[in-house]
Amino acid sequence: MPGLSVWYVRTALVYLALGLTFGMLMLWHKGMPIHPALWALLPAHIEFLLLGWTLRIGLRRRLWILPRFRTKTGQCAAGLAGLCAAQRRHLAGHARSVAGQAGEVGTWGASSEGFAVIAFALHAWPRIQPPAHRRRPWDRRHLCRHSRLVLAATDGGVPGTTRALRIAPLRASAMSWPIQWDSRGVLAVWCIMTALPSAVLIPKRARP
Amino acid sequence: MPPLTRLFIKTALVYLALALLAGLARSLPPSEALPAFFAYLTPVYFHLFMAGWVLQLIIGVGYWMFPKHTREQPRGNEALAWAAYGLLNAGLALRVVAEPLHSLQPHPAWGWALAVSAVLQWLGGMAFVANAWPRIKEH
Repeated sequence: MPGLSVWYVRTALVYLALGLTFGMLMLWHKGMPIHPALWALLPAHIEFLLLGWTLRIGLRRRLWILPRFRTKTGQCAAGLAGLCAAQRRHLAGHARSVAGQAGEVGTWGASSEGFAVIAFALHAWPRIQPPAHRRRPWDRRHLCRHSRLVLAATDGGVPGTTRALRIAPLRASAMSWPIQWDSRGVLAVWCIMTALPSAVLIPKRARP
Repeated sequence: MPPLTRLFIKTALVYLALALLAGLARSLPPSEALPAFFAYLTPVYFHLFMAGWVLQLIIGVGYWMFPKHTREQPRGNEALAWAAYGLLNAGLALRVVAEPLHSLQPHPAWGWALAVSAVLQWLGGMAFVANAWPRIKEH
């Protein structure tokens, strides 16, 4: 397991332990009252388990399971720097839960979490691609010269100058659809869309 | 896929279905024909979804895919892993029953049931963390 993944998962386990502890205290208090101040742990409970555990484990799984660059330089400083930045900012962002939602710390924490997600998205974006034999000529930059020549000979695809003409209308139509999501709906869709494909992909990758 | 992973994932799928049913029940407009506890299903819905579906799916796949612990015990302490499954599900099942009933008609029995459920779920989670931690290592 790469070093960065080790840090991701260990941090996620710590957040899981803390989140479960806060939840246990609140549920005990709900049944057999201990102290009313325990309800103040609710935002931390939600934040630690949703963002600290679930999102972090999901990011680590994306880090592992997304297609990899063919060359070592492709899995490069830019990508790892993005992940490291995401890790640091994510940890910094959780200060919001400890210090409370309001004030400068809360704003700084929330913006840090946002930058963390953006950093991870920038890292993961180029890794989201179809298998090599189905890629268009402009997507084959990472392949060696021989592979590109073979694929170009068999593919007969149009050079990249027509890419903008093909993709722009699709992007414009997608962006024009007004979609309004409740935050719970976003979370539910994210959880299901990341969990179910993983359940399909993981057994395939594990085959000898 | 090890048996415990299969059990975790199948149980998670059952909880997903129950969570969606609970979500449907709580979204129905209030009516005298519906049971009174439908109005108190919100925390049950969230925890069936997050603790029952998401958490157990992650635990099941993590138990399978995390790096090997040792050659003799590639997946760590099997008894601890089975204990995590039993404790987590016992606590969650108890919570699903006790929480809406306690909200509807507070009673010491339901209160203690909630406290026991809290401890069971916590112990199940800690058992998983204790079993998984030594497996998280670099090659």
